[in-house]
Amino acid sequence: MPNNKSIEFTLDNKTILATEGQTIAEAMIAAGHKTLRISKEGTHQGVFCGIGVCFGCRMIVNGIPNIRTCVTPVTYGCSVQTQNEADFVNTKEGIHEN
Amino acid sequence: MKTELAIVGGGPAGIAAAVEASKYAKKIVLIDENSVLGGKVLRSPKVPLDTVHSDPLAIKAGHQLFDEFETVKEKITTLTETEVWHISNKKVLSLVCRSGKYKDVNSIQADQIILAVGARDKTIPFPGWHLPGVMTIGGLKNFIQNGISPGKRILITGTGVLSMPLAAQLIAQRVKISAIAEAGTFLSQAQLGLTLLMNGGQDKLKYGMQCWRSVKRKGVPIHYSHVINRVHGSHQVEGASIVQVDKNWHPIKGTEKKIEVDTIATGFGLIPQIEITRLCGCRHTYDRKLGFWSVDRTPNMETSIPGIYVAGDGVSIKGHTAAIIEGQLAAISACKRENASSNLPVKKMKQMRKIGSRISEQSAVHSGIYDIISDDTLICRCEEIRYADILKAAQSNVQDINDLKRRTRLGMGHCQGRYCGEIAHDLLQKASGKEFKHKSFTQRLPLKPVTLGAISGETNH
Amino acid sequence: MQRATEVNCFFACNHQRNIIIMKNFVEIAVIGGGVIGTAITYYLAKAGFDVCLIERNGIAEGTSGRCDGRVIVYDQVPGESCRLAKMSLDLFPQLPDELGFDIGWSQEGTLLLMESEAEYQIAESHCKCMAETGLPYKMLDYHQVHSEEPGLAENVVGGLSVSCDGSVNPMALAQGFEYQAVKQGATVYSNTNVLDIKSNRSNTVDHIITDQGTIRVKKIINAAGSWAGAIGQMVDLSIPIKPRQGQLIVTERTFPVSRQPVSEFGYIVTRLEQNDYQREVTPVMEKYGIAFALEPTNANNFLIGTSRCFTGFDLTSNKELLTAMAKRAIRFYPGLRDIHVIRSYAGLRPYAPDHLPIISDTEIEGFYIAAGHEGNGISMAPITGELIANMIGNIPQRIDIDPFRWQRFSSPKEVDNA
Repeated sequence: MPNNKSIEFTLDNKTILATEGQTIAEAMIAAGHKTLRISKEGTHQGVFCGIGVCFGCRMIVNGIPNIRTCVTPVTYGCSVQTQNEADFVNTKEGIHEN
Repeated sequence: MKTELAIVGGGPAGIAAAVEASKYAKKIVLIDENSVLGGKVLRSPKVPLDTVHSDPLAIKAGHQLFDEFETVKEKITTLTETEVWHISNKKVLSLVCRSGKYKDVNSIQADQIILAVGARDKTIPFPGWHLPGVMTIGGLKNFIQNGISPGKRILITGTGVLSMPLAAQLIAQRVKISAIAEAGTFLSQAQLGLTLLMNGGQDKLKYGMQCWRSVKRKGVPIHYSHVINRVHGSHQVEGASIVQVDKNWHPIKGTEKKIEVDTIATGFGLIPQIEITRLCGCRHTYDRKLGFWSVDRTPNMETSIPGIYVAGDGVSIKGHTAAIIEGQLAAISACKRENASSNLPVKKMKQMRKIGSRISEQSAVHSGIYDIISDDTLICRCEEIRYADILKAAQSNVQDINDLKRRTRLGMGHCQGRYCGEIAHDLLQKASGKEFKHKSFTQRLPLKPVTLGAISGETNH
Repeated sequence: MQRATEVNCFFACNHQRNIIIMKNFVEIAVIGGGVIGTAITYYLAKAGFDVCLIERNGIAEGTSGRCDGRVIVYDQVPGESCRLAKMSLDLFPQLPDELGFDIGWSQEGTLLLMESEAEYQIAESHCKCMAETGLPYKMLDYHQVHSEEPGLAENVVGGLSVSCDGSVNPMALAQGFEYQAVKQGATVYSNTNVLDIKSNRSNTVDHIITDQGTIRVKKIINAAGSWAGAIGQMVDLSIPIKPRQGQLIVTERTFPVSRQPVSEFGYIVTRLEQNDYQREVTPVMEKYGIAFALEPTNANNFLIGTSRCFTGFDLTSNKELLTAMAKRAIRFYPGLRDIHVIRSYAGLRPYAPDHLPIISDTEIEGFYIAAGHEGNGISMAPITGELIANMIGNIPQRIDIDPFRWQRFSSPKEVDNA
């Protein structure tokens, strides 16, 4: 993409660069980061439909989970994390285990 | 916010509808989910695109449409990055606007509505299709168009007319294509070419041939009558196998070949996105030949709900040329200016619709391909429901796919049944050995997952 | 409803191309394949009776597929309904093994939330009352409730814990009863519409006419929930059950929100007849009877509810209602604003004017009713099954069933249109 500056942001607490105007998913793919989330069964998943419909590309962005990265632009300094859905338990025992 | 006309979808049909309506209506709202208009195909001249290897027709159409849009822009309130999640029976649209000057708008009262939401890739599960590295053909195309390649060795698999253009774009970006596995025969592809020729689609054929030549020149192996039958790799795509199929797409034993790939683009043509028309209560018909549900409409593009009109690929697959004309027709009808329609190139629209139908028929899935699916294969990607779970439910008293949903959770995830609903019916028949009447999942609000905050009416969060 | 001929005949099913062939005769026919009907079928089959279940669509396609999964006593006050609820709750822990089916059962209790001092005081006396009946009720003060539930809004003043409550997957419960009922010899006819019921000259049920055929019966159990009245009409019986609609929101899986099922206590207050207490809610919330409840499900996502209003048999999601419900939920758990809603749905609680179910025989010999459980159908499914099976088998009941008799309506009284 012509004439676009770099934007710094963090992926799993490591600083990486994206090009202005890129979606988070594009930045992930450009950085070779394919696994965007891990289901509670331990299944790795990433971008699938690329058009914001399947929600497969969801990650934790600025602390908020389940954000579709294929339709969300990178913003300066945003924090992106691989979403580990084993953390999404909601029973008393489950929470105490974590 | 109040409007005379609300148009949902800013692709060729939606933009054309807005431009046409600006001649007649005073208050028009155009809504699109993306940050730029144009949908899947068209691009404004301002947005850079690899012009050498994209469809020249689409480029030309895009530039022309956007030029027209520019001249009437002031008359149209355009909301981008906006998702519609409900339409009430009084034509109130509930929406979430993610950014821009309309962030505070969360509902619009319209007098008339045009729905032009387009289509999405039809997908068929195969073992390992859930792994990172497997994408839809449409999805991969989005990345490639922005200069990003998801991988270094691509396998394109499925059927339909989108594979060759994608391949040509990949080649132009110097991305290696390991193979193309086309489920149809060479003859069926050639027949498509003939259909194009005989129905005014010469330009499309020319572009198609250009892509094909580009692929052949590069020496990319095209395997006709082949489909992918498995992905290798535990946490991402590390390889794949393809297998030859017969005319009903049953895999032929002993023909499996391993392919070196790290990325797979899969798709079996396009299907109209009918969730929004279902939510409005419009009547739909399942077309067995085309292989999808389609919203019923009058020749004037009105649905069974008065005041709700449709246009474009969201009705049936027809390409941007026909979509543009349908958008104009829908706008003329919605604005009650039926006389104006005599100026429209209706013949061209009908030709393109016919071509679109033939293409859809060609891409319709032959049930033999479901033999690829193993017990372990994920059918519902969102809830991780496997074919084995469907088999188990089929042994019980399951009555239809809504019953299947209650028994397995299939369709209860984020995609709201969009990617499993299509084949759940076929797989239920296969698993139970019984025939079922074709139904689809009950459509409820929200149309797409939105936050509880958005539903509560809060904005700006 | 069209009348079919009164001759044994077979019709091709209009949903499937698979023909259902009904038996000529069954001892007991249960009408309605929700949790109540399937439970009854199971308990009857287990007791050795010849029983069939007739369901017009699919199992749990009615209210049992459109509700939450709470198995509770928390919405009870001391009395016969409370006793019934507790007896039923106590049957749940053994059900997964007994049915050989995963019903998604867990027992995390309910935490009721008070949002004012006035509510807190009412809760204290209610807690004492309920604890005296032997139920595990316990008060939590401000610090305790916020330590239990860090996600709570700051201005929640206290809590009331009911630790015996549980949750189940209501559809799986019905499917589980169905599964084991069939194993015990019951027959299930799905996609089978009851068109008419005929009695003989001595006012005894004789046969049922369906769109799949006619079947002679000795006894009929009307477990048709919100539609029990329509079945009753077929035998000229007046059954004052009407649908009371509730709507629910289903969310995605995400970080923990609540650590257990929670409900606002304010709703119970209205049932305690404290007429001077008013919750701080908007007119829209009052209109739809909105009362906040959050249920973490077995699938690890959340159900958010609840509402109650009379809108006939309307099952469409109502945006105005859901907006108010969302607001009420965010009021208690502000973190909920970022959670995605995946879908919403509406269900029809079978409401009887005195809020008690009808579990009894009737003036028609052989015709029984097991319906009208309002919002407690899931909770009371096992006990209802047991009561009906005992009734049919002339086995002494463990509880006085007089309050649940249909005959309580047959004397001319004003029907309460609350």
